[in-house]
Amino acid sequence: MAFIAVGIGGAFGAILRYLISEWTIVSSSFPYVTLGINFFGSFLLAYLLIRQTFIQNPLMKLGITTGFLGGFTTFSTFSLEALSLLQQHMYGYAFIYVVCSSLGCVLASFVGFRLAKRGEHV
Amino acid sequence: MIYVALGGFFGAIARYGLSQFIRSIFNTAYPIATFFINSLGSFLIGIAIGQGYSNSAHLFAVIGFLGTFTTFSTFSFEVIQLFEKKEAKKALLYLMSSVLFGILFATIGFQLSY
Repeated sequence: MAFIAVGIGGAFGAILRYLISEWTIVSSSFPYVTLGINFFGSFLLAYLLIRQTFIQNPLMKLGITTGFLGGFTTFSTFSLEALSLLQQHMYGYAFIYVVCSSLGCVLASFVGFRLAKRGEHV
Repeated sequence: MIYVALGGFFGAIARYGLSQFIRSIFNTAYPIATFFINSLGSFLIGIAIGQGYSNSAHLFAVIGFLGTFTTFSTFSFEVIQLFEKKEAKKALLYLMSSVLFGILFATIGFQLSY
C-alpha cells in the first residue's frame, strides 16, 4: 500500500509540474519555472515533515511528502537546464541558476523547518 | 497528460523502492540514497535528451518518470538535517557534490547518446 500511495502522489506531482510549466509563458532563457517549483516544494516538504501532526494518516503523509512533493520537485530537469545554459555559452546564467537553486531551495527548506518547529510548540 | 501521470507514478515508486533498498544496505549519516538517485536520474535525462524522443515518449520518460524519480525537495531537506545535526562539513559536501555530479552526469549522458 505504501508503494501505491507514493505512486499516486508522484503522478499528481508530475501532472502539476507539467501543467505549471505549460501554463507559464516565460520569454526568457532563464529557467524560472523549475526554480520556483523546487523552491516552493522544498519549503512545503520541510514544513510537513517536521510538523508531524499536520497530516494524521501515515499513508496520506507518505503519499503527499515522498510521493507528491518529492515528485513535484525535480533534480534531473535542474541538471539538464544547467547543462543547456552551459551549452548555449550562458555561463553567467548557468552559475546564477545553480547558486539560486541550491542555496535558495536549502534556505526555503530551512524556513519551512523553522516555521514547523515553532508551530509544534504553540 | 496521461503519459506524464504514468511516468510520475512509476518514477515515484522507483525512487521510494530504490531509496529504501540503498538505505537497508548502507547505513550512513550521509544521504547516499538521494545522491545516487539524483545522479542516476541526471545521467539518464542526458541520454534521453541526446536521443531526442518523440513527444509522447518525452512526456512519459523525461517529464513524468525522470522528473519524478529525482527530487529536489528531499535533497534540500537532507542538507538542512545535516546542518541541524551540526554536520556542516557533510552538509556542504552533500550540497556541492550533488549539484556538480548532477550536471556532470547529465553532460556525460548527453555526450554518450547524442
